[in-house]
Amino acid sequence: MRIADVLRLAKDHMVTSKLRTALTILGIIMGVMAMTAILSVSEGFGIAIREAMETYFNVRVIFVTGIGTFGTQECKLYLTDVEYIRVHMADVVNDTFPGVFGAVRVQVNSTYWTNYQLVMGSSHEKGQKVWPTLYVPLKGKIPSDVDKKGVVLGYKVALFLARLKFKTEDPAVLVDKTLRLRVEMPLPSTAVEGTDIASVTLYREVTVMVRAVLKETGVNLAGFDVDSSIIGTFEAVKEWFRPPEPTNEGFAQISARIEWRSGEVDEVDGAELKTLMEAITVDDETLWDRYVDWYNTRMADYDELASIIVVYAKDVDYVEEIEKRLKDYFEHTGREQAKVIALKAYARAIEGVLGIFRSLLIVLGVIAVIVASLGVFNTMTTNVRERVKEIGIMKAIGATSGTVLKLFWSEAILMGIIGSFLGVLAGWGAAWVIAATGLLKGIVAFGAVFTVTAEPIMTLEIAIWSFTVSLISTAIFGYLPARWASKYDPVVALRYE
Amino acid sequence: MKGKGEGGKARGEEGFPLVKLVDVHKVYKLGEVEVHALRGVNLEVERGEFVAIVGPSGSGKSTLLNMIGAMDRPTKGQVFIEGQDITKMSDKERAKLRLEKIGFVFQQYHLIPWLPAIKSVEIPLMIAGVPPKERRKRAEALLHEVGLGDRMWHKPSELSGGEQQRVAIARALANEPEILLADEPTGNLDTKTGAEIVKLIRRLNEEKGVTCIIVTHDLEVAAAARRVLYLRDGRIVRGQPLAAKVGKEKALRPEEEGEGA
Repeated sequence: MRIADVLRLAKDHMVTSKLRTALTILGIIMGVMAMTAILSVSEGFGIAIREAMETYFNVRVIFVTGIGTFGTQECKLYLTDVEYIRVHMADVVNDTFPGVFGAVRVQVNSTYWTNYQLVMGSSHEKGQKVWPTLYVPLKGKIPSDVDKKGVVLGYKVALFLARLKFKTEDPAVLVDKTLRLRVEMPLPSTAVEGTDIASVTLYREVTVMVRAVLKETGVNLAGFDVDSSIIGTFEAVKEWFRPPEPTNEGFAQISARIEWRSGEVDEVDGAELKTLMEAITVDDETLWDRYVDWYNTRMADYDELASIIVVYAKDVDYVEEIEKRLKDYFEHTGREQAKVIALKAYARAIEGVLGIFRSLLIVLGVIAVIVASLGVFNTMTTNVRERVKEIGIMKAIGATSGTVLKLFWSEAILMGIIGSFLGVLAGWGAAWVIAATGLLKGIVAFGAVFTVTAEPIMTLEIAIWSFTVSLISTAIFGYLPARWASKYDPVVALRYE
Repeated sequence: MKGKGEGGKARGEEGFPLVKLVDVHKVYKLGEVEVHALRGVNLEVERGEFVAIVGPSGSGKSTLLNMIGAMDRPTKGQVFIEGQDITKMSDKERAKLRLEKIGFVFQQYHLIPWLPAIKSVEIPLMIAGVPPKERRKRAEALLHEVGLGDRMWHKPSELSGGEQQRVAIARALANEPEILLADEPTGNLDTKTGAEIVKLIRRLNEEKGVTCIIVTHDLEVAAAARRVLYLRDGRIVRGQPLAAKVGKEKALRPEEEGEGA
């Protein structure tokens, strides 16, 4: 029998049992629609995350960080390391620069200061070079590296201050405003050991000028939440955190907060603190003497220190090599605790998670399609049961088993083709509706590393994939009943009631 | 083909009867019980003959027809069509034989319920791979021939029993078979309609030379045949040209069992 005739007869029968055929096709449509929509949503998230990684998450960047906060690191990083990398890894490194982390309070009014806000000190110019899409002002202009007073605010911290200080939802109002920052420098516990004092925190107030507010990025780079940061130049931020010289002039610049073991708290100015420290003696040594010792130790390398080193590879392919060379270098210089973090590895890990996530979604989609195919199986089995006599007739008038198989199978395949095609269209529609209504448009937070917004994306590839999987599935489930049909003995089939 | 070597066309078609059964047995197993439907049937039918097989129900008439029509295989014995042993053919070859050489007509008409008459007649032509235009033409001609020129697009449910049987006959004739096998073709029809169907079959036999083998328990129907075989308990007990019945010639000596071979 010609294929065209097989299909013609299959079509004739499908038209005869309209309702059953329609319901079966509807089942396939819904299964394929689910699969197509699932795939398009997963594709959308995939693309959004990849885009986010490409734009914000520069995979050519490698960070080196010490352990602990600035100044108290167990594993110190030095500017000489930056120089070493610049010179000795010039073949693979495009650029490298240091950064410094800290935390400050921001003055809202004469009596109220905010809680701690993250401060990053780094080169604005190099930051712009490495993260051109990240370092984009919402308003204002990114200052040059010689502008010691200028700072750039991340979106969230600007919004936070705008609400508190200016009672507005517009973070851009901060641009060109002056901010008072309180830089806090806790003294080490050894400095007050053996006294009634529990802790001493020195603080210095600095005045800065907001030059720009950045656009919201949703990016967190190795613990550095861009949106929540106040960003100044490396040199300026380090000056803010420089402990005061143990002289009258030095202490005149600072104030202090003293917490007594009794729980009382005193706020004192620098001169008062100095007097107090000179008055307290432990083991023939005043607290002032201790401070002088600590200061001298601290200052021995203060100008050379950094909290983080940013290394920018010439090419993404060099990242692994740089990673290895950096690890070797820090090991050789006795600092194996130094953490070398390649954003590429992060990206890989995220892609891995994303891959599992997508696989799971695909499995769900395939299950939906298999359920639909079970509908086809059910319909075809019922068809065969009802048409046993027809099978006998067909065989009596000369149809081979193969012809009978084709007749039944083609019906399943026709339903598969129609259902899959309409299902893909419906899935396309569903994806469009999801995108248009923003139903699934949401924020994916990836282990607080970065966040993205995504919407479903429909591609020809998804359409073809869904269609093919569904068709193959219906063909397989439709084959079994068709095969049973073909196996009937003609005499038995004709006698069947 | 398997049958070719020993008794096939190599020895020439003309020397063989159209249908030849040699010691055909058929045993059905119904659970534990064995039912002997045929117990050694020998039979020859020449080209152009009109044979009626009569006998009580359960005598094996339908089974015999299924053996001739390549629908069923004997438990023992051989069935030759044009000298070829069809018991040795594969299922596919047997399907081809049914398609090309045999037309079936059943008591229950056995039309496909969702197809209009014209398409029912077209199906054997479809299976044979006849192009659409040609088969439509042929199906129309056949339906005209059986007197259903104006009922071609009616489905079985819209046709009377006699009309349905005519469609079935047209379908049986679609591929111009050598043999028309009719199993109680008038069993579900009133006497008048039955007579018309018999007349139609007889006409086909006389005008077209189609060899007809009818199974019936109706002696009126059998009377239309030139030869009548009596089947009882799976054996042909008597066979005679029915001249006596039609009153033209004296009855010939009945063939005794086993003589057919």
